[in-house]
Amino acid sequence: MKDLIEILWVSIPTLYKIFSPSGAIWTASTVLGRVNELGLKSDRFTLLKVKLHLFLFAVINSEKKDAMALYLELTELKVLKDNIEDPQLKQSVKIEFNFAEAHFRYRLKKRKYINSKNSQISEDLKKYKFALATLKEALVLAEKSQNSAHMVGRISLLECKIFVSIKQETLPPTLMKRLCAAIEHFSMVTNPSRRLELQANFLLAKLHLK
Amino acid sequence: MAFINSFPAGLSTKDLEVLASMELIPSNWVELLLTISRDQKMKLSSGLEAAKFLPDNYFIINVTNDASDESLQHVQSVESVQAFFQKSSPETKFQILITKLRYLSYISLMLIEQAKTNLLYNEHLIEYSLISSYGIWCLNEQNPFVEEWKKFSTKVKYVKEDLETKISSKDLLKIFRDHESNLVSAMDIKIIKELLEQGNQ
Repeated sequence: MKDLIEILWVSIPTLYKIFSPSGAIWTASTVLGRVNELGLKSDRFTLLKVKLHLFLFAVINSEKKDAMALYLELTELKVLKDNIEDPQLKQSVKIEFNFAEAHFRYRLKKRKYINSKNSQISEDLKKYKFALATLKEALVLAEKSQNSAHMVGRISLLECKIFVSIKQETLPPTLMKRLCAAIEHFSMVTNPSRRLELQANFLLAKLHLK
Repeated sequence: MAFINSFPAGLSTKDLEVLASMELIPSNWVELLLTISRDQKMKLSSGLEAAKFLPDNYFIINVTNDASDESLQHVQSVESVQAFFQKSSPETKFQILITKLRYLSYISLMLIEQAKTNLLYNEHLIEYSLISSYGIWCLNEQNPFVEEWKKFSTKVKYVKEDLETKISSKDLLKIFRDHESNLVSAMDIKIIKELLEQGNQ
């Protein structure tokens, strides 16, 4: 039963995201409420909650663009991340958390959100240098992990987005190389991530122009 | 065929074919449906290449033709029968409910896979769903259901007769719409709690 819950309760919000996006937030919030109500205490259910909060983060990030709602999701995620006992799983969740946080900081700085002047959101969150520091931490952890090419590619992509936005002349020495590796990875037949591949190519061109 | 009672939106004849091929329901489901509805004069229409039920509101089930696919029919238990099923003994319904959740999981994973194959949905930089398949978004290999899914995934012929054929995005959306109420019913906390309490860990 728990095996089915683990799969089905992430699949259903995903299906809504694909086929009926207006119902995605409702579905994920409902499922999250159900998981909390069941009160199951183990890493696999903490991970399920992490996934659902991340899911909500992604949907709010692209649709409602509400800084306060995103900030609250990150706060919940931080607590859940600290509750995970398995060290390897904890590390994987930390990478995802850092990436989400860095993206949030980047978009805050770019003024892409509403409600971003809320007093709970500190000014430090709105600085590129902190976003880059968070990403660097995620990159170090990801590079130590197995099968991390996808995550490293996403980190490099976000890093490039930030460097394109700032006037800093010197890029991290490995960034171009990582971006090229990311393009190759995103275009693999077994893992086609066309949107990310296009974004990475576009950013590579922008970095060359810079 | 009490199995149909557990799906609020009912099942299509294609679902029943798939379920039979996966041995989740008896292979003679057509005969069984005719047998349990014998007194209500449910019949198969004759003279057609593939046998079809005559669409009607029978005493315990409703049979309707699909509006866009003439080869497809929908079989749904009437509300009173669904309500009766909910009140039936735990022993009677729990195995059925577990099988229902398994089938919905197969359908969900199949739809996600097909949406990826069709490039109907492309991974965003901030994605966080089962569209991604890296890190924590990989299916947990230690979950026995994942092994089962791998075994059955080629048997779920719902969308394609062979691996060469791709289903259209429109058809994927239709399958999702047909199963939407069934999927929402999989979040019924009362049932899930009962199942867990019954030792279905």
